[in-house]
Amino acid sequence: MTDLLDAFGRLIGFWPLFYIGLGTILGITVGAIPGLGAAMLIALLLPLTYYMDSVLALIFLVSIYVGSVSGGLISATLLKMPGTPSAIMTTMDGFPMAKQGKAGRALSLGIFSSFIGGLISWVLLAVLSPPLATFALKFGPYEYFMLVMLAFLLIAAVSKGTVLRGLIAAALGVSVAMVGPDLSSGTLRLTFGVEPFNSGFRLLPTLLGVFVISQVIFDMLDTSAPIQQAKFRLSEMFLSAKDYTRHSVNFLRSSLIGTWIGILPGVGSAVAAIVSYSVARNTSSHPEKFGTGAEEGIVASEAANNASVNGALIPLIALGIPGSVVDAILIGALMIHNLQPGPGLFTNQPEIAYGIVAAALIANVVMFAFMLFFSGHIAKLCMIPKSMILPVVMFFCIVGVYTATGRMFDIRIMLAFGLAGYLMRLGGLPIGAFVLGYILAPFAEEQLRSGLMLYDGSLLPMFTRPIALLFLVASILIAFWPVVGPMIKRVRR
Amino acid sequence: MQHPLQLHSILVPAVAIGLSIAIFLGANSLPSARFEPMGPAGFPYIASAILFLLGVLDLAMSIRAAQKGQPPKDRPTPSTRGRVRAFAGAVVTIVALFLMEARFIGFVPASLVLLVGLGGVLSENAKREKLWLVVISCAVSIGTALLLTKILSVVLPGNGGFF
Repeated sequence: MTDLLDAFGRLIGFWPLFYIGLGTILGITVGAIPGLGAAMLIALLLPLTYYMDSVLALIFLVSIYVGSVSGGLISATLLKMPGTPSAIMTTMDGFPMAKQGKAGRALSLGIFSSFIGGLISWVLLAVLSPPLATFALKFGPYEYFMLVMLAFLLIAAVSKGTVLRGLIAAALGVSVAMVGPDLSSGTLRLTFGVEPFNSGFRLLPTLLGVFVISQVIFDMLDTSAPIQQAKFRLSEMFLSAKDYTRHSVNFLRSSLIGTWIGILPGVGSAVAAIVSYSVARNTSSHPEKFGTGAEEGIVASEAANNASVNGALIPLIALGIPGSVVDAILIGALMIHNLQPGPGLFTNQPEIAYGIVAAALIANVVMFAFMLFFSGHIAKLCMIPKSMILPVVMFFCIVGVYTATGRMFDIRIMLAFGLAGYLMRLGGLPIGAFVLGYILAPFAEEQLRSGLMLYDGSLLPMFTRPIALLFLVASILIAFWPVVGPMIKRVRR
Repeated sequence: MQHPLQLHSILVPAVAIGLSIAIFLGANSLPSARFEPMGPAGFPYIASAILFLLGVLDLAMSIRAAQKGQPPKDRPTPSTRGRVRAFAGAVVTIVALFLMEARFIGFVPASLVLLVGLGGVLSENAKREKLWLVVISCAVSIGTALLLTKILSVVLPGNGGFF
């Protein structure tokens, strides 16, 4: 508790508050614009953070994450286009409400739900992360290795497309990560004599390529008609206390669902929103209203997706395992600043760990205030033509990579990964699984090799140590559930 | 009723299997383990085996689905205009990168080629939009060049100069 209060004390200053405010507003803005998102923006701004203090860099990036998940609500409600995948379910009821002339009411409920979801999950983040980090200190190398395998299987199971395609994407990410010098011996691997590959595929060109450039290609190919915007007045944004208290059970339930799903490694806010929406519909006394402008639908989706942000930060800070794809990029940010994510962060660099926790709360408050008063203006930004946004995004990708690495070759690698990312999307290979494989592969290999050295080449402790066995059993269940689940249902019938 | 196999149903497993073979061959050239049970070749071998297995499974399941008559999933195909636009965008990007690396032109003109070129490919024919595009492109390229050189002390590519 003292460390957390100290962290708040350190953040009450001009520059920390400036970066939290800037990050949140940028996140909301980018989250509102369909086609852009937190992953893209954070990847794009990673080179800029090289020159920043580590704490400021991380609170800036975390604030972007908090803002972007909420920003998707604006375009989902006013433009019928979710700004982020996590706002897909909000579109189902938000836009119909807007069409009925209740756009302000829909936005207000969404913003308040986002705020409450963020608050409840923040309490769990602050309470659970330190003891989880302490517990994780008992993890050995095989526990970490199995946890990474569990993360791969989870993200494969929940990604679009089949589980097999998700696993193939993760395996491709692992393969890409192996190119270059071996971390232990320095031996060059899988370079096939191409000299620029001797340093491997660097983090920034790879991430920018698969996330940003592939999306730019997608947007270039999209020739759909310009979008129409629903209007609202600021006075409609302020509802009575009764309007909010009516949804109190939904707020709490959706926040807890979102937090729990956020904790699961590699899953993310979109799944949190979908699950919470489904539960709200199944438990509602008027399920037929869902999809036609049901307030409960907006509340469930927005509370859950914001709650999942703080939920995903729990395994990131405590275990060093990303709770979502955006967290995987945040791990990249930690690595850039020579910080080791995981339980050691609380003991070795508590100002970073608690700084992230404190920033998440302040960003939530900034998000609430900014969205309440400026949602209409943000919606206008969504009308900026693609002909202006996409070239600037492409330009900043090129400049960002060049600034970070100093090599034009890395720009070509980024463009190649962009094309590969686009082809992966066409082939049903989820990008999130690829990125998770790429980010976690070096860590997984290090843990496996450490475990083998520790136990004289024996894999038996993977089956005899209780926590490793638990993760192994969970991995097997997730891997075989698509086959076993239908069989069990048939037997029951 | 059988359905024909879609292109991605063959390509994806083929790429996975092909890559797994490439990784296996690459791992073969690595030295064996010294001072530890698993050397630098160990993880590549594991990844290669898993990728191969997944590729074979994916191909088998795609063939089985086609034989069972399961209709293929609808995948949106881009319009001809979209394809032309993307191709033109790729050409503009390649030319701009070539100019950025060249010694006879500076960073700002090369950036303008990229920004105005890509914007031109994507814009509808509104005059006002094109005017804004030029203004924003100039501001972004000059502003970025100043930021890189004066604040971040980055050496610009190509001839290292603004113009």
